[in-house]
Amino acid sequence: MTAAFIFEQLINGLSQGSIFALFAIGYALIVGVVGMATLCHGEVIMIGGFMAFFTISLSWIPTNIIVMALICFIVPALVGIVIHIICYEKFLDSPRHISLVCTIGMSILLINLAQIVFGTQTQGVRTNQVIQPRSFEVFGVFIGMIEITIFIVVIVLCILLALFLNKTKYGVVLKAVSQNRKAAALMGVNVKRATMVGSLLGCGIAGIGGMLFALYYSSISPLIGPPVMIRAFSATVLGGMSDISMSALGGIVIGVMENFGIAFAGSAMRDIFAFMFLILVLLFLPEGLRLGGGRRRGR
Amino acid sequence: MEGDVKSRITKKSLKLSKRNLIIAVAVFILLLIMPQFLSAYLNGVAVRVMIYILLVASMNIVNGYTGQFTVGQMGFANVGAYVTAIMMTNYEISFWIAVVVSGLAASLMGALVSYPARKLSGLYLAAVTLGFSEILRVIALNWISVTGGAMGIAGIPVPEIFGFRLSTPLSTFYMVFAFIVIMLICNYCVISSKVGRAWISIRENEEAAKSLGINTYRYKSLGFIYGGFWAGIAGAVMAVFYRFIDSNMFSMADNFDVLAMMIIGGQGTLFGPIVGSTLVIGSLEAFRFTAAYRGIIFGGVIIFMMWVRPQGILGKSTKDGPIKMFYNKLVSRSKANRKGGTA
Amino acid sequence: MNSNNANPGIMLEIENLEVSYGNIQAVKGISLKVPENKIVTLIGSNGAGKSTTLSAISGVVKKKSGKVKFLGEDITNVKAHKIVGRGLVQVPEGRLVFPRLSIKDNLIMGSFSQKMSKTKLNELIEKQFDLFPRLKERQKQAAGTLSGGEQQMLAVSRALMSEPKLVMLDEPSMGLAPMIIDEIFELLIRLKEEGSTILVIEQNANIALSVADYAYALDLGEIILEGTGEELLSNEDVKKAYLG
Repeated sequence: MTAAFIFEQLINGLSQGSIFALFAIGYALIVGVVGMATLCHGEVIMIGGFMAFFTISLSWIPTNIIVMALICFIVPALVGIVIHIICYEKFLDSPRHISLVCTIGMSILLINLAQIVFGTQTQGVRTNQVIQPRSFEVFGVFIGMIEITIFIVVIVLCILLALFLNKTKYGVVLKAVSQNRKAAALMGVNVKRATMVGSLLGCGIAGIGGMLFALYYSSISPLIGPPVMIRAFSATVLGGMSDISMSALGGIVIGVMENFGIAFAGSAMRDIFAFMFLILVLLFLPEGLRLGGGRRRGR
Repeated sequence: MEGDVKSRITKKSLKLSKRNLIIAVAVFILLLIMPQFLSAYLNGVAVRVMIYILLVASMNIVNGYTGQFTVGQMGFANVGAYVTAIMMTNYEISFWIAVVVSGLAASLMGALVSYPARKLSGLYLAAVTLGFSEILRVIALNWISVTGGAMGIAGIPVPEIFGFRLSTPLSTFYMVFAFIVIMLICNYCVISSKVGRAWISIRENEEAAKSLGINTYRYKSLGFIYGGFWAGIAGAVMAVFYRFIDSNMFSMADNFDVLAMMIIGGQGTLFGPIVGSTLVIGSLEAFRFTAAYRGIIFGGVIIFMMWVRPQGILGKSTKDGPIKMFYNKLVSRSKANRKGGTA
Repeated sequence: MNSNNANPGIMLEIENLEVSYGNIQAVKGISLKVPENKIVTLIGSNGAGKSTTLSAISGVVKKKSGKVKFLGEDITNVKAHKIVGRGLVQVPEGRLVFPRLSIKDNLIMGSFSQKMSKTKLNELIEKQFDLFPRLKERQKQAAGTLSGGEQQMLAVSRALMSEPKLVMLDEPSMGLAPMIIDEIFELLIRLKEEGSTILVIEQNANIALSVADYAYALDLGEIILEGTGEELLSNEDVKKAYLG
């Protein structure tokens, strides 16, 4: 129970937590702007992970992190557009469970499609080809380039997103649509297009999360969707499903919780920490937290 | 007068018209005779369908009648399956006792989850029920001393009735069939009772129900307890049919499968689960030859159903779906033509 | 103006509008005209179909049948987000401000439908602040923290950000104290003096009729009475039904 041990778990927790934070940010963006929850977010992340795999293993794609990040953003973003057309667009004014079940169908479809296209086996991801396998010793613990890369990517993405949402006109539009869709429509906003952008952005960000996930674990499989979805969802609950900063915080907390948890309870229990977090949050904060107050949109 | 209105409401929500009754009886007789002529393989498929009917019906009670969005019935089935498996293999207790205990154990789990569920609704509630199911799964996977962990429990004996071993799909068929009939009768009784009416009023408007003095928390818990019971029964049946169980037979994906079947069949209806399960498992079996593409077809069918008939096959909707609208257009157009000139 | 306009001086014209929600018909064939630079009001009790009419005009709700003409052009089938761009704007029932956006951001949203330079945008924002000094004081505050009256002012100035030709207001008095209601309706008169055209939906028939040039009374989806504001104000049936 040394300080080094705790620090090591903390670094692991923060690394994984940052990745979960990206998943959660993407999820909160989608739920906020589109106004509907999705259950195929995990599959979008999985696709992002496979894009990272292909960037490395296909020789005609230059293997550097920038190209990888672009591909891992664009391809999932395109998938986000498809998901929007199939699962959201038609049901913007329908009862919410219809689009939810539609995303379940989408999730099943994507998992099976991935298994056919990518194979059912877990693929190894040669992280070393993209990120130098160097580590630095800090307080008796080794921090690798991968962890540093993760932190940098996540922080940069968050800053970019914050700038976009707060300082650009369309960013304000997206926030407006997430706060009151009818009023936004009355301002002349093309709501269908705005929700599509929300889905596109949210999936793109999730895709980058998937890329980091694949690099961190040096592996990717078509079946990572469901467990990853749980973490994204549980994290977002902290933010009342649509608050981006709180969702990111939720992701980090879950990451840290998991690492400390399995250090004591064994890795078999890994999956349930996210659910435990979820149930605890809902028990004490049935509506989630929201920065800056304001009315919570009814369900 | 009030009782008159009450009984009319319940009868209507159960669609127990004369025509439906005749159809039900005919189908009943057909189902009793049919298995004799089918192969063991097909009877096995039928048993699987019926297990899902039990599961989907148990979810339907909670979802469709009490209006609580639950996606975690597999967790209760998990408990039921293990209880039966352990009682039969370790303690050699008769199936008929084990199955009831399984149901009760699952009910207990239902009561447990109903506590955090009371104040939640919608997606949050669904997430909690799913989480509970997953937690049960992980516990079962790790409680090696009791459940054998990931190895599961194998060699579960078959049920015996009056010395007759129910070891073939044919005999299991009749057993599960009997369970389903009993369940349908129980469901009908519960739904037409005071409990059922409380459930429906909670589903329609919980606040209003509260203001009428209905203890909504208690009835919501009862929903989970009753639904959990039948999920436990389904689990017990799984144990003696597959003769092997392990926690991964009750995964998150399985929960979603049950949800999909419920939605496709139509939630909040008595026979919806039957239609949904039969259709889904039936087509999955029929498409077995497409191997890997089966999953894609399944996902596609769910999406298709949401586009074309989101209320499910037996469900009723407030708006006319695209098929009905097309039909209406045809009818009005032909009426206009008959009258001569514009409508 | 527009040579297509059969009725010069009529800014908005509705012919036989019908709107259904599922099997319930909320609006059963109403026709009305809003002349340029006048205040027209639609009064009626709850459920009379007033809000539905407005929603149908704005394209937010599907019309079963009927025509809507704005500035002589048929906008019946124009999509909601394009209608605002033509100069027809709605201040919705319940204000519907963006609760977690600042007052300034809310105003910026109001200008969304128009292409304008940053200078013009800031000019317009200053104009709203002149109209409503209270909003200027709190410009960085989140709109959800404002009082009902302040939110109504915000909603109106937000609508004015697109420099509309016709402003429609849906129940502006709802949930507001009498003094604030007076302020709001005085503002409407002031807007008319500055050249705007206004269509107001109101349950509070008293105040609406006192500022209106022309009025229609709606009941159960049909227009049962119309006339100048003064005419309806002194009408016995109207007095009994709406003026309490």
